[in-house]
Amino acid sequence: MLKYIAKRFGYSILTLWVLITVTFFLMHLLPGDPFVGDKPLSDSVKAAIYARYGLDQPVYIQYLRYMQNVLHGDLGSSLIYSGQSVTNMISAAFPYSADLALRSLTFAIPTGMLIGIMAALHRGGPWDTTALVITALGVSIPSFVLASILQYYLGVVFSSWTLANWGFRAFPISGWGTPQQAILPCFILGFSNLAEIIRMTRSSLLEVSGQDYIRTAKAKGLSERKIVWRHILRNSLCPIITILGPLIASCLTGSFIIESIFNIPGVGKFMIMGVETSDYMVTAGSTIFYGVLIVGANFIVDMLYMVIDPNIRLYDDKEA
Amino acid sequence: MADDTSKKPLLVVKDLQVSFDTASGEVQAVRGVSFHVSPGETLALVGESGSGKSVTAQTIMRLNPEPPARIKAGSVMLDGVEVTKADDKTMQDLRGKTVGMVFQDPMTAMNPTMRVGRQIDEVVLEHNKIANSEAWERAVRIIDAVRIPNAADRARQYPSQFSGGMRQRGVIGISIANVPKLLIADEPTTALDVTIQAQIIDLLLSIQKEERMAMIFITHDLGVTAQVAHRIAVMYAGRIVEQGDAHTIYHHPVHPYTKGLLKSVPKPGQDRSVDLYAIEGAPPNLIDPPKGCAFSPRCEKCMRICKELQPPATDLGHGHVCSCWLLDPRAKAVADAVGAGAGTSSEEGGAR
Repeated sequence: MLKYIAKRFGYSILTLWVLITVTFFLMHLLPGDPFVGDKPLSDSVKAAIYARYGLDQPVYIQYLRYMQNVLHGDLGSSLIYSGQSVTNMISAAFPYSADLALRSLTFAIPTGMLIGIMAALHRGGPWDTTALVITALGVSIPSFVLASILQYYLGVVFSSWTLANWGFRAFPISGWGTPQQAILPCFILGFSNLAEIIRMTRSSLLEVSGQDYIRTAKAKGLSERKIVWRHILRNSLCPIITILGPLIASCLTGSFIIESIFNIPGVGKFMIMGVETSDYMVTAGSTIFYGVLIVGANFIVDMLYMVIDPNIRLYDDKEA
Repeated sequence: MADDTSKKPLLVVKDLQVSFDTASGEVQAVRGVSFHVSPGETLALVGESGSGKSVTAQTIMRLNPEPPARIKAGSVMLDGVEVTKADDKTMQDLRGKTVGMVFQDPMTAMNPTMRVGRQIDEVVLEHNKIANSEAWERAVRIIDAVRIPNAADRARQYPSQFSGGMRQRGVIGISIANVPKLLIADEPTTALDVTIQAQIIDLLLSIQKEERMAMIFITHDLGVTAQVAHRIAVMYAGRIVEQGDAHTIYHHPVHPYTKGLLKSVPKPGQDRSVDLYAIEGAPPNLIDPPKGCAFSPRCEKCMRICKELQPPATDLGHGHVCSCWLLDPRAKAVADAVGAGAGTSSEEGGAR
C-alpha cells in the first residue's frame, strides 16, 4: 500500500517537472517578447530591463533559476505589472475561481450522479430521456454560447422585467459577490460538467449491470434494490471518480471563459491576460498552478481508488 | 415416462418457448423444450453454442433479462411453483434457496470488490433469519466444504486473490449455500484447465450425492457428460432432438445429430492419419428458423419431409425420446429406396 502511494506520488512529481520544463521552453519559443511593443526602446534601456529580469542569461541558466524559484513557491514577477509577484496575483485571484468552481460542482455532481443513476436503472424512461437531452445539450453547446443566450434572456430580458416589477435584477450578468451574481456563471460552468457526469455515471452503471457477477447476485435471490446498492453502485464508482478528479481541477482552473464573460476576477482571467500580453511569468505561473491542481486531483483520485477497489491494495501487496 | 411413478420430478419443463426481441428480429432461442429432473438425478443438457441450453437453464430461474427475453409459451414447474407466471417476490424466494446456479466463467462470476465470505454469507442471510456472525461462520464452513484450505482466512479475501479453480469453488459455495433442491451448473468447467475440471466435477457430484440434489449439468463436452449424467438431453437449434438415459444415448443413439456429436469426440488410440470427424455446416439462424427439422441442412440422411415438417417426438421406451423423421414407419420405405438403411448405423455410437 505504501509502495502504491509512493509510486503515485513519484509519478505526480515527474508529471509536474515535465510540465514546468515544457511550459518554460515553450514560452521561450514564442516569437517576440513582452518589451516589443508600442514604443521602441533604446538598446541600453532594453539591456537594462533584460538584465533586471535575467533575460540576458543563457536559456539553461534561466531555466535552472526558474526551477529553483518555483520549488520555493516563487513563480516570478509579472513582466507587465512591474513589481507584482505572480504568486501573489494567483493567490489573490484563486479564491474567486475556487468559489465559482465549488458552487458549480455542488450543483453538478449530486444532480449529475442522481440523473445518471436513475437513467441507468430505468432505461428508456423519463429519467433516461432527461439524461439524453442534457447530455446532448451539454456536449454540443459551448459554454460561451450558452452564456450569451442565458445572459440575454435571463440576464437582460427577464432581469429588466424583474427590475421594473419587483425592483431588483434577478440575474446580474457581471461581477462577483452577491448570491445572485453567482447563479448564471455557476449554472453554466456546472452544465457541461453535469452532462459529462450524467453520461459517465449512466454508462458506468450500465456496464456494471451487464457483468456476470450481477447475474450471480440476482441468482442469489436478492431484490433489485439490494443488487443496485451492494453490487452495482460500488463497482461503478471507479470510472466516475476517475472523471471527477480532473473535472474538479478543470472546474477550478478551466473556468476562464466564464470568468471572462462574467467579468469575475479569477485565475483564468489572469492567464488569458498573460497570454495576450506575452507576460511569460504570468502565463507560465498560472499554467504551473493549473498543473499542480490537476496533478493533485489525480493523485487524490488514485488514493480514493484504493479505498473503493480492494484489488488495487492487494495488487501492490503481492508486488511488494 | 417410465420412472414417473417411482420418483416425483422436482422440475418439469413442458413445451417451453423463449424468444429474444432484438433490433434485427425475434430470436427464437428456445423452441419447445420438454424435460424433467427428479431429486438426486443429474440431467445433462448437451449442445453446441447457441443451441439454447443456457437460455433454458436461465429461464428456470428467470435470470434472462425480460425484455429482451420473453417466455412465449410452455410451463416450468419447479417444486410446485409455476415459474413462468411467478412474480418477482416468488422468484426471489426461489433463487438461491430452492435453486442455485453455478456459472461458466469463475473469473467474472464473483463481485471483485466484495470479500468472498461476504458473497456467500449474503445469500445465507437473504434466506435465513440468523445473526450476521452466524451467517459468516456458516460461510466459512461452506468454503471449507467446497475444499478450499484455510477457509477462515480465505473468507476474508477478495476474488482476485483466488485462482480460477478456487473461484469456481467459491461460486459453487454461493450456489449451494442454502442447500438448494435443484442445482444448475452452466458449463462449470469450460473456463478451467483440464486438471481442475476433474476436481470441480468431483466436488459437484459429491455435494449432489450428499444432499440428494437434482442437478442440471449444461455442457458441450460429451466427455464430461459421461462422468456426471444419469440422463442426457441433446439440444439443437432451440429444441431437444433426443433424450434418454446416459447409457442409451452413448451406446444406442438414434438421432443423426447425436451420432455426429459422438463421432466427433476424439478417442484415445485413434488413427492420427484419419481426420477427426466433423459435422459439416453451421447451426441455423434462429431469427428465421427452418420450417422443417433444423438439422436437416446438415443431415447426411435428410429426406424431403425433413425440410417441410417438424419431426414429431417419438417415444422409444424407457424415457428415450427422439425427434427424427427416420423413426417414422414410412421412412423405412424411403431408406430402402435410397439404399442407405436408416437403422443400420445404430451401432456407430456404441463403438467408443
